[in-house]
Amino acid sequence: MHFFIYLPVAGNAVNIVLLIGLGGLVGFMSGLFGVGGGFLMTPLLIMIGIPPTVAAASDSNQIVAASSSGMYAHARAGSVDFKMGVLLLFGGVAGGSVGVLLIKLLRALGNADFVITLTYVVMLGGIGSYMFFESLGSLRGSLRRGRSSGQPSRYARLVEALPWKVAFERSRVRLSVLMPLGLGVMVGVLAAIMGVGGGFIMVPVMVYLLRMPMHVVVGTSLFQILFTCINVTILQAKVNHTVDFVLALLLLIGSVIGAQIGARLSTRLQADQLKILMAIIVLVVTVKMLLGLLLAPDVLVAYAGGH
Amino acid sequence: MAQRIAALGFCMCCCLAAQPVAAALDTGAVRVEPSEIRAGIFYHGAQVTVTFEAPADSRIAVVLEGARKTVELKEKKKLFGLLWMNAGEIRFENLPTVYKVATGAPRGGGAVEQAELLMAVGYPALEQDAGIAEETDQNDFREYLKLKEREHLYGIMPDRISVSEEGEGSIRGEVVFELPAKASAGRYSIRLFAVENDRVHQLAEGGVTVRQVGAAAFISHLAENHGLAYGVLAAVFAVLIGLLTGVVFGLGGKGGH
Repeated sequence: MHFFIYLPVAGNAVNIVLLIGLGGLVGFMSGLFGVGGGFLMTPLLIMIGIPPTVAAASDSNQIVAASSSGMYAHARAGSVDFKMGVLLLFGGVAGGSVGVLLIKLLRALGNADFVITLTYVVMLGGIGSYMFFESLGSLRGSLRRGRSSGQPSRYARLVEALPWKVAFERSRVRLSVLMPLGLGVMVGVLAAIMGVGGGFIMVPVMVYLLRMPMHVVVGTSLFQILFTCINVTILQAKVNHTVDFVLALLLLIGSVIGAQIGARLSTRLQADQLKILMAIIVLVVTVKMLLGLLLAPDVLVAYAGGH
Repeated sequence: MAQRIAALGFCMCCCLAAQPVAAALDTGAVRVEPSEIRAGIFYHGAQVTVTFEAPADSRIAVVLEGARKTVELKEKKKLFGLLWMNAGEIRFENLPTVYKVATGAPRGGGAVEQAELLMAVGYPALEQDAGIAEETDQNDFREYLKLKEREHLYGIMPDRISVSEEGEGSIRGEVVFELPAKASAGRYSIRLFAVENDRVHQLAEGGVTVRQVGAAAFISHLAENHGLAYGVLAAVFAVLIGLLTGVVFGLGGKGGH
């Protein structure tokens, strides 16, 4: 009895149990932290022999299932800020288009890969370290909570000065619509350059720059990721023919279950516990990337077509 | 009596050697089992058994080869003396998707012939076909070979041909090739070569076809020819499965916070 399945678009056979297990692991993270998990899943799929282009496209397809499953759980719990999510989504789509043009320009200038990798390491390392130390300080109770006693920060004054303020009831904040739109554009640009969905950038942006409560951040991030990945899946299938539905189906069987477990666990953990766990995962990925850059690879060529 | 038989044998060998090797065997001498591999949804690679007839004194090689294509690769280099990164693109023309060479010598010996055979049908032949001459390209080509061997798509298998039956002046050989699932659908040629008079001759040719069937073929066709509809269906299915799981888990649980 063998447990292999043939993936018709990827053109390879892979162990079914392994695929469901990988989906479960990444889906769990998705439900727990509100990230799509593409930054983790795509390299894992390439490692087990899936062509890079098929891995990235099929992963987007499975993220659609995981994020809709996770978002449904969060929506039931009332922790999705749809108004904020739609604004971030519009900004993200616009930023993604700018990012794609930027990548074209970088490729024409040469060394695009260097810029992509550097952006990856700096972003992951910066976000991971900040989240880690901030959450650690908060857990130890040493962090000063709020700045009500002192002068408002320059960032707070800037946010306050922006026009077109709207109340975001679910997030319990009142902000200018320019904030989620502008930050959405920024995340969209970075996500396009790095070739990822952007969840792990969006989550810290919502927490630290939009000052949204952590439990609303996770649900809202999943809402935004859902629509981003639907768009990516359809575009990849139409333009590059690289979506392997059999691969996505097996991954999503694991990921939708993992996402539910993750979403449930996320409501039981404190915000700082969630943040520090995510920070650790982001830092582990950063260290892995750094090692990949510093250690000589076994084979000095790779198939073209990945990120 | 024994001397007469030996003399007759010698004469027969001389006669055989005087003729072109291809003429000694008909092209149907290579038999491939199976001749068609049906890649369904549970396909995970296949074994291809090649049986053939060849001259008894020759060193022989059987080559399994996939379709020839242009290969595009990323080259990894050390930048700023520190970071290993993709630092260039490489393009090789006219290289097969799969290339496996099994060799054998029915009566042993023949290290020189083995080297000749591998020069003619081994990796040096591919290097020549791809028009690689510069030293930097040769280094990249060696890395490409390493990449393909890791995927089990390329391989040189010395002395892997077993002689299953020996007749007078000719042998019956057999070799089993592992064709991994990663080998794409299409036709694979199987050619038999032998060294004679310091020259490598192709003796016979056969082939095996890998064909996607059933659900695998349907999905592959849909993805390739109806990309937009396939993408929309894939996204809709994923949303439905995600929501359905959400509902099922929601019914069983307390529903969030």
